Amino acid sequence: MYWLSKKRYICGLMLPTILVYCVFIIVPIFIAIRYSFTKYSGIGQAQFNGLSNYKRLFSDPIFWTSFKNTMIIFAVAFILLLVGAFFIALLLNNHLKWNDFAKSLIFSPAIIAPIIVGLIWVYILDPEIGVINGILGALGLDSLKQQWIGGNTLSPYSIAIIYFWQQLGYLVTIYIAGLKMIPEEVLEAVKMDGANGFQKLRYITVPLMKSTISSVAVLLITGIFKIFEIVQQTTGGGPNHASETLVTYSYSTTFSKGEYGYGMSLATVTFIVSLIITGIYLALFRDKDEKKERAHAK
Amino acid sequence: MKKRLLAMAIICAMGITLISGCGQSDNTGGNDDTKAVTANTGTETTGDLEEIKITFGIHVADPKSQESVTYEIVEKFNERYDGQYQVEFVAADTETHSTNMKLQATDGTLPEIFWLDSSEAPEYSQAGYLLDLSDFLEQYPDTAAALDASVKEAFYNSIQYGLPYQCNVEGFFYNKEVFAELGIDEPVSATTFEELLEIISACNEAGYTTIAQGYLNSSYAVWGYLAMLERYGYSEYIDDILNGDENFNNENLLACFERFKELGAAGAFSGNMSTQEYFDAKEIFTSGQAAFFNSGAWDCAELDEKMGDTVGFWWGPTFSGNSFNQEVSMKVPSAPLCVSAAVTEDEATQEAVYKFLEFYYSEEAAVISYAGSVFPATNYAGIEIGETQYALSEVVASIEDGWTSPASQPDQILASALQEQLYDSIFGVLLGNYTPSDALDKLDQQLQY
Amino acid sequence: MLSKKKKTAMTVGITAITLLVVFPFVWMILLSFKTNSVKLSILVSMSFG
Repeated sequence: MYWLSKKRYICGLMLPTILVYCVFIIVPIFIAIRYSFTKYSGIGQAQFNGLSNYKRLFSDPIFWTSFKNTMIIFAVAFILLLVGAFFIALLLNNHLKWNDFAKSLIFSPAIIAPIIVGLIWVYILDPEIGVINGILGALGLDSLKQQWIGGNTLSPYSIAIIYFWQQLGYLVTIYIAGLKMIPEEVLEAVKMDGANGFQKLRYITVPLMKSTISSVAVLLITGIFKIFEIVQQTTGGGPNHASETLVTYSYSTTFSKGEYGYGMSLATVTFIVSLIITGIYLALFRDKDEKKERAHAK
Repeated sequence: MKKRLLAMAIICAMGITLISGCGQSDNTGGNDDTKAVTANTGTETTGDLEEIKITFGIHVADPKSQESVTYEIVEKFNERYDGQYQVEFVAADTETHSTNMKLQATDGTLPEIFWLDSSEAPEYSQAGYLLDLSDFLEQYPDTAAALDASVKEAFYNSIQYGLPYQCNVEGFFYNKEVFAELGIDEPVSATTFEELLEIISACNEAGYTTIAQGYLNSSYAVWGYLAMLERYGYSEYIDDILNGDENFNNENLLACFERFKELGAAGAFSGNMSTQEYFDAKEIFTSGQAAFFNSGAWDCAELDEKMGDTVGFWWGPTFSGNSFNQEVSMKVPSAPLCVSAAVTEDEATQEAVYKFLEFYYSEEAAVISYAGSVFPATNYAGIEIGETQYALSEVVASIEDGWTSPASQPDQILASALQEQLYDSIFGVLLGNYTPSDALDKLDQQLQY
Repeated sequence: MLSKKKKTAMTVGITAITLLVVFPFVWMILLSFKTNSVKLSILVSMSFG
């Protein structure tokens, strides 16, 4: 199939995908940025108002609350998932009885619609009707009861835990696939050299899993910034915006308050923040060999 | 050559697939949540007659169960005018419906008749999307007479851009059995705020939730508190506030919001109000765990079914030491039904719409409304209420006290963003997250944008 | 080949993680046998039956 390797055929075959990608991904971003410079209620014409929305945004305490909450969810969920899923994958990558059954059970939260995930966890985390406070009460540990959701402080941490629960199985599956790609001969050679478990992990497994870990990290960054249904179902962003995230605040501003212009400015800032974080991660953790190769190529 | 032709053929096939996949469907705009029962207006020839189809955009996903009275009125109309006119719903939940209407207004595919949020309707009118219904009222004087001047005024702003969908009667339902068990008097129209605080105290001691109230995705559930705003003179200065001559943070509203703060501090609500929805609060009330339920007459049918004659109705507390009228009830026009300006492009469609509106505001429709425990927007007298419509009877008895209602529901005259901020401010104070002054400052700030 | 001790420890670990992951589903199934009013009552969180 030599002719398929010719650049013009490759471009031609990719053209429909690129068109769809541009129309449904790239163009809406620019449309949103355009609306972020307007005052628009969704009815009639949008009125250009320059940087007013951005000036308002940076002095809006709810924006900073939502930014803080998003960063808390990001930090907690990112670390828990990146590391936790990896170690669970290591556990499940052994030939043990019931491992396959355990894999399917651990993966099961990933197939549930996020809104249902939120609904399930309301009955666990609610301060009055939730099972956690119920168990604490039954054990006589009333002093440990908290407002896991619906309060002013713990909601973002709870949402991070819910997201962790939801995504764990999916990321474990990706990690297991990455682990299976490590050549058996390398692992046998390491064993013969007398390396212990930790040395094997540090010098062989993690370096050979770098691209998988990198992919998981990027998936996590983009996924965490898209958390919406869980927040909507557990706290609705409340009480009084205390548990808003950037996405939920943008949504409520746009569709509940009818401030499309300001909502789009929030969405634009969210997009830029996620780009920056992804860029920082890729820049920091880019493979050093890859960097050298690029330098030589130049 | 063959390979080149094959490559071109593959590219063309993919291009055609792309274009056909992106092609518009015949359905009205919207997302997957919109149950489009019909497409755009059309006519269907049945024999020699052309049946005119008109679409009715409604703000609930399942009109049959969620707006059963309206559903029944539409069914009766379709039956009456079978072969001539056919009304079909375009149904979606309130938020989706609101978004869809905005999209459809932009691309000119609005349903012929549609429910609109009161805060958004004036903007639609200003943008020229709505038909002036003065012409309809002139052509149908009986219908015009059946609608009080006040309900028409509620949706008049240089044109009659809508007519009320229904009449909302709002306040607090209460559980008579809870009061009997506590051994305290049931609330009556003149019950004061101080007496309410005593009721709260008694409920807390006995382990009852005083006011079943949800806030999660239910910020609009402030009905019972709106009359309190009125009893601090809201209607008398809101126009000044909206014109910029006065602030929300004034001594009267501040005093009102101080009362909200007292309610919250007294423990009137359950500890998980912020993670509980309006429907959960209703469940708490109907299962006998709460003394009051902040709601309106639309819940009468369900309360009749679940609570029978144990339910009472109350307009909310009055406030002593207050110069404003305390005998305020909340019987107000609900959101408007509007008609798309585009119906004038076809005389037959316009006539069909007018016929539907005539039926919708007829005495026959009013009888259907009362049978479904819903207050119609019309003023037909002498319609009997069923013996088992306990909750509705209680509401009617309260109305017969003769207290006056404002022309519009206090939150419905505000633009969307301000309305949302009002809800946020009220709940913020009830929950103790905002001070009354901060809550009102937020309203003033929102007004600046 | 893993030693028996290691295998047991790993199995216990995986079982614990699996139970924690599955618990929300179990709780939902238990709640689905209760009426709405009981679900919303404070008492339901104290019972597992």
